[in-house]
Order: sequence, then structure tokens, then C-alpha cells
Amino acid sequence: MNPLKVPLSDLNAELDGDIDVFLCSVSFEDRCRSVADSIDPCRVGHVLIAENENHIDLHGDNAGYLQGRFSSRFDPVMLDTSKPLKTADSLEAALRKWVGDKHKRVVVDITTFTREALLILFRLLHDRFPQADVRYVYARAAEFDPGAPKEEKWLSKGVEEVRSVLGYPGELLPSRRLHLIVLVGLEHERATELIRAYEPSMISLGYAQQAEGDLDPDKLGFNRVSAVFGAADRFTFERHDPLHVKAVIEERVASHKDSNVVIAPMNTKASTLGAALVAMDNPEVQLCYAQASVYNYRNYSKPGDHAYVLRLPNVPPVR
Amino acid sequence: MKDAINPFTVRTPEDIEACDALKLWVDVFTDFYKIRDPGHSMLNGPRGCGKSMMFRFLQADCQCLHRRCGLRDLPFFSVLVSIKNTDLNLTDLQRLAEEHGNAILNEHFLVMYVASRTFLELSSRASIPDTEDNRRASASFAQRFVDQLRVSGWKEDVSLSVADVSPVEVFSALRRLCDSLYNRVIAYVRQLAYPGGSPVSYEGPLCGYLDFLYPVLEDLRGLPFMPRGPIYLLVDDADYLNLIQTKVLNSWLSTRTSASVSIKVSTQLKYKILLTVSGMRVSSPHDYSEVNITDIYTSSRSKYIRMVEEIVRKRLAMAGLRRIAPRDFFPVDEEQERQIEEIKQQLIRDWESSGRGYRPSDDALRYARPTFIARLKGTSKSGSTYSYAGFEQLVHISSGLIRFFLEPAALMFSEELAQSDRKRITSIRPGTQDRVIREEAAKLMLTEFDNIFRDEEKEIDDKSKRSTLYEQKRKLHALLTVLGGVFHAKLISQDAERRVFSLAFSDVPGQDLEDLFNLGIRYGYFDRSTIGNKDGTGRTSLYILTRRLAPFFFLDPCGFAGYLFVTSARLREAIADPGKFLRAIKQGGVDDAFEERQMRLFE
Repeated sequence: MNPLKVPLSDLNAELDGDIDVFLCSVSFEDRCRSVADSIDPCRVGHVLIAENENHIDLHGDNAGYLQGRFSSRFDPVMLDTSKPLKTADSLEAALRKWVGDKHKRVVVDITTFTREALLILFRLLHDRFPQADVRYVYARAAEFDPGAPKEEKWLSKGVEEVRSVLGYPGELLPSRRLHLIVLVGLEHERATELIRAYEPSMISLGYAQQAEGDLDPDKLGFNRVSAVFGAADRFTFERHDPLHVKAVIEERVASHKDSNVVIAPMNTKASTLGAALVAMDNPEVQLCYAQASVYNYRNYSKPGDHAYVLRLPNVPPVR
Repeated sequence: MKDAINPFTVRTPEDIEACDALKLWVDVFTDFYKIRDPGHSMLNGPRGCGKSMMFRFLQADCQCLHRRCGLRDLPFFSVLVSIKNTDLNLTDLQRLAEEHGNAILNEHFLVMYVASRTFLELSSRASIPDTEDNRRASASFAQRFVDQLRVSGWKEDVSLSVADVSPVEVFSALRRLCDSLYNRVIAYVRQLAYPGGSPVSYEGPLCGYLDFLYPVLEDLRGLPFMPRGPIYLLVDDADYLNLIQTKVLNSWLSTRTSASVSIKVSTQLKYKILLTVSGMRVSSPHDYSEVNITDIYTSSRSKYIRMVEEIVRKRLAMAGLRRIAPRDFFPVDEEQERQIEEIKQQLIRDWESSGRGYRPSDDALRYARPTFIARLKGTSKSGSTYSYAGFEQLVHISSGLIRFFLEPAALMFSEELAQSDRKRITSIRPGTQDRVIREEAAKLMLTEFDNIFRDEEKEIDDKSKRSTLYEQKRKLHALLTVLGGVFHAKLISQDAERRVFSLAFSDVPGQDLEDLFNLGIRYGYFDRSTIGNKDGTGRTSLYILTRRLAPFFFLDPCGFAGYLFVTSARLREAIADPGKFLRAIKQGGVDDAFEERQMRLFE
């Protein structure tokens, strides 16, 4: 079954067998501890603790905590949210050292990687370390922006910069029109800002399938986009199932043939992996990353008590 | 009828058919003739000010319809080179940043992009007559193009089937060829993206401007169906080029080729650099002429209002509302206007005894609306019940940027449609106009700004700069609060000049305050102009608060407005504690801290 939802208390048992390499990311969110706390450190051969060097001052004692949990069996892997090349180089060097071309069992805690770093890591593992047996784990939040009224919740604001994701440049032809596909997150304004920035000819906005307590997409801002930018298509996806996300995005891509396609994954990490699968299977598709102007550092999330475990299929190598 | 056409929907000009583009077109080239006329030029303006529509109008299909002539008789041939956000500026290209061939490969990438767009233009928008002569000429051109590619290093044994086919088919084949060569660069950098792969080298052609693109375009100009005038390369949104591509484009601008190939660059005011690849600076007017759209529209009230009126009239006509005037579609709040008219008449009657202006009508124009707003404020907490409805108020609030008129108008139409059981929307009720425009103002000041400062959220940036930037933003918020409060206090005062939207320094402001205003300009909260300084010995910067915030601070967006002089020390004091400063203003009046001057609308 994919994805597999398990209580964090059962995660250690669910991840059967040895874990040669465990990869996680330090964050300002306490959720960066959830998966590490649920795994028996003795089962782990080596730990790679990624951290955004340019945000260290926001992380409190989370780095120290994770390092302490795995005593001396860890390597710090320094990333940078504004330098994707550095992120790729650091991850590649660490994986080359600890995974190499061996059939290692790797567990990646994707919970608190930025979407951009996650996309780079995913592609690196796929392209450069195909022998590795990788499982991805995501610790759910009990609540985002805890305590805030439903319609005022936010995780990030603004779009500081939009860039293509390293390794997912697509094949955008100069003569084609642009189809922008956005997996909309909690803040619709960021999706609207992307539309303004790209001025696409076709717009497809994807919303996570409604769960209890979710906001109606119309209230989120779809009506505003439709009013201001004309007809936009709307679709839904299962937020924790990358394969479902892949399937529905591919339907959207097929609906506007002969267009340049740019996908902006702004929803869950699992749906971000779904977008990655689309781009890896369809190299003409580009992924973009909209770097936020601000994050809700103070009150991003409250850790939950469940996790998702994902195994993702291999996709054909890049043409 | 819930599927009525929203006349104000924002459409990408590139996607608009020529006949529709002409129906929507409002001639602005009397103001922007440098864009229409031969010569390199740079058109600067924020997103949504109409740059792309200008470029769309210059394309061959629009020009042929507009001038009612064939391609051959046009004075120029335009190629729209629309740069989308991440088309050319691929992150993967950063791998080449330190490499020897960085500029060369990026130039080739840009050249192939332009070449593809050129052939797209010829195959889809040019209407080339399919005659025997034209077939021969285009096939022969294609052969020379391929020869030129071979000189630039193209080695593939591909034959183009261009013999005895229509010119459209020839140029389609050339477009596909350029697309594939463009893609070859992407395929190459894709392999460089991550370290640890096998070494790769680029083995395709390398084409530059002077050695490839310019000769190709010159050759193209000589074809029998082409206009005799220059080819225009309309590079739209050049801010989206990466640094080295920007330098490459500047190198093209620095060439003296504009008589045959004129490069027209549009920017959203974020153009990265004005240096060429070799480190030379390009400058206006030496290398190109420069047009700043907002300078023109913020300096003339009548030009801007006329333009918006014309745009709205045309959009309404396209939506089947031909007989409805913009002012009728966006009606004023009649009761409010009736009361303001009464105040006007009173001011005219009182002019003999207590008038301030040269004529009774001066007082009526200058004081009626502020007096009305002041009375609302005085009788209750209902300053907010002032209605911002009415075409002219909405135009003023849009602050010289058509996008800020059209987007709220689209929302108003949509809301009106959702709430109405009318079969046809022939006007937007004043209540709807007022509600939407207030929400937009609140969004600008609160959702888009105020929340940024909630708690201890911090700007993502280099760690060392983060706290400084955060502090700057906090100060900017304080500055807006101060100015909004001061301008409102001025509006409801008994001072001679009550409408104020601008501020200048009576001394040298210092880097801290200049940086603060620059940040405000970047976020769209201010425009900058210049005025004569206080001593009359030169000019100084004038900072104009966006009228989009008028509904938030209960300001009157209409008509002429004055400006205030302030010392940098006094402004620093105000920013340090806006609440205290505004309380002092309330008690002692604005004049204790600021000195007023009057100037023209939009300053």
C-alpha cells in the first residue's frame, strides 16, 4: 500500500530491517524531531543531518538535539535555501560517501526539507544512487499555524523569487504557449502572485482533496483568479499520495498538448514528490520553486502523532 | 445569466487575436513614440502598466490590420521575444557561471530563442503571400540560414525539405530547427545539474549576435515580401534574463545596428545590470532611448484618465456593452455627491467673505470633498462611510497603473454577477465598488504587509542581512502609518491645502531614510519624482504615497494635491513612535511638523 499511514509509535517497527543511512533536515519546526525520535538509534548505521546554513539562527537547539540523539554517527550536511547548487553538491558528496553504488537501505525524513531541497535530493537519489533502497517518511502536523482561526492560517507569504528547480529544467520551447500548473497551498495569494509573474496562457490550479476542516477552494481564492485572469481549470489531488498526484497532473498536461508546462508544487511534500515524478517521466515539463518572502517561523506547526511511509517507483532515465 | 463575459479580465496580450487587439488598443504612441520609431530603446514600467500590449500592437498582424496594408508595405517588422520567468533563466545554467564558455553558450541560447521567435512570427503572424517568387526566396533564405549555422559549428546531416513549399512551411521548418538547437543547450546543462555524472561536453553550434543573428536578420529584410524598414526585436520582460544573458543583451544594444535591427527592451524596473559582456556600460541616450511609463502617466492627470476611459469603453464594447459610458458603468454614490455639491455651493456663496482661492470655483474644487469627509469623521466614527465609488475615483486610486484599475474592476464585475439576478450587468453598484476597492486597500496594507511584521517573522535572506532588512520593513510600516495619518489629519483640517499625498525633505535625508523610501518604492507603496528644493538652488526627490492606500487611510484620491516638506530629524522621530507622533499632530496640527506646498495632481 502506498502511502502507508502509521502511528509514530509504530514507525520503528514498520521500517523493518537495518537502516544503513538515515537522512533528515534540521528546521525551525519541532516536527524535525518527530521521525528521529521514533526510530531506535541503534538500528541506524549512519545519519546525515542536513541544515540550511543561512538559517541556522532560526533552528534553536534542534540541530544539537538531532546530533545528540545519534551520538557520533552523523555527518552534518550544510545546505543553503538561496543556493541550490550548494544544496545539490553537499547532498551529493554526503550520499557518495555513505551510500555510493551499494545497495544501501536509506530512510529519508522528508518532513522539513524545503520543497526545492527535497526535489533535488529525490532526483539525486534516483539518478546518481539507483542501487539504494529508499523509503521516504513524512511526519504529519497535528495543526498548521496552531491556534489561528481557520481562515487566517498561514505558513508563508509572498514570492521573493521564482526559479526553475535544479535538475528539472524542462524543455520549454520558445515558440510555445505556457501552461502553468500550481498545486495550491494554504495561501492562495502566493499562487496568484505566480500567475502574475508568469502570465501563462493556460492556468490549472490543483487543490488538495477536501478533508474535514479544510477550506473551500472558492474561499481560498479560486474565484478571484477566475475573475481576474479568466477561465482557469481546477482539479483536485490526494495530498499524501504522490502517484495519485502524478496521475492527475499528467491528465492536466495532456489536456493542453503542444504547450510549455511549468509545475509549481506549493502543497504537501508528498504532492511535491508527485510533481517530481511527472517531470522525471516527462522531461519536457519544468518544475519551479517559488521562494517565499517570509515564513511563519514563530508558529508554523504543531507535531502530530502519525507519519506516512512512501516507496516510490523508478522512472526511466532522462532522455 | 451567470456566464456573462467579464470585460475586465486580464488577458495575456500575446494570446489576443489581432482583430481583438485592435479593438482593445488605445493609441499611446504619441507619448511613447520612441518605442514605435526606429532605434534601440528601453521601456520601463511596473508589471501591468501596458508594456506588453504596446508590443502586441507592433506585431505584423496588428500593424497590417491597423494600417490596412500588406506585410511588404509596413514600415517595420516586429518580432515579439517574450521572456517568461524561467524560460531562459534556468537554474542549471548557474553551473557554467565560473566556466570559460559561460557568455558564449548563454549568447547562443538567447540567439536561438530569438531566431525561433522570429520564425514563429513569420510563420504565424506575417501573412506572407504564397507566390512562386516568395516560395523561391524563402527556400533560398533557408539554405543560406543552414549554411550560416554550419559556419557556426552545426554538424548534423539534416536536410530541410523546403523546396517548393509555402513560405509558412519554410519558416515553420526553420522554427522547429531553432527549437531543437535551443533544446540541445538544455539537454547539455541538464547533465551538468548534479555532480558525480560522466563528463559531458557541448557539441552543438555556437551562434552570436554579430556573427549570426544580425546577418540572418539582414538577409531576411532583403526578401521580396518583407517590409523595407528595420526589424524590431521586442524583448518583453527582460528582467527575467539571468545576469550573463542581460550582459549579452546589453552588448547587442551597444552595437550600431539600429537602422536595420532595432532592439526594444521592456523591463519591470528590475533589470539586472547595464554592463556589457566586456564590462562597458550602456547608457541612454547614447546607446538607446529610455521611456519610463509611470513618469508620463503620473505627471499628467488628463492623459491617464483619458487612457483608462478609452480602455474601459473598448472593453465594455467588446463585452457587448457598446452604448454604456465608463462613468455610467461605474456610477458615483449619488447621495454623497449631492451632499458634496451642497457644500460646493455653500463655499461659492461664502467666497466673498471667507474665500481663500482666486475664484469661488477654486474653493469649491479644493475644499468641498475634504469638508465632506471631515464632517463624516466629526459626527461619528463613520469616516469609513465615505464612498470611493465612481469611475474617476477608481482611476485616481489606480495610481497611474492600469492593472490596478482592471483587477479590482474584474472582481467588482464578478461580485456583481454573483449577487445579481439581472440578466445583463450594465453597471456596478456603488456599494460593490466601494467594498471591493476598500478590501484591496486593506489587503495592500494588512494582508500583504502588516502580517509580515506579526510576531517575530523574519525575512528570508542572507543571515547577516536579515535583521537589518526586517528592521527596515518595520520602519517602512511605521513610515506608511505616519504618512497616512498625517495626510488624513491634513485632509480634515482647516488648512489652506488639505489634499496631500507627497513628501520631500527640506534637508539632506541621509542613507537610512533614502533606503527606507527605496524599499517602499520596491514594494509599490511610493513613487518617486523630483521637485525644486526649498532653497531654489536645485532639485530634490519627492516621494508620492500610492493612492491605492487612500481608502485605507480615508484620504481623498481625487484632484490636485500638495506636498509637505519635512526635516529628516522630524521624520526619524515620527517613525520611531508613530502613535505618539500622530497624537501630537492631532493636538497641534500638521504644520508644527511639516511645511506644505501645493503642486499638480499626481505631482
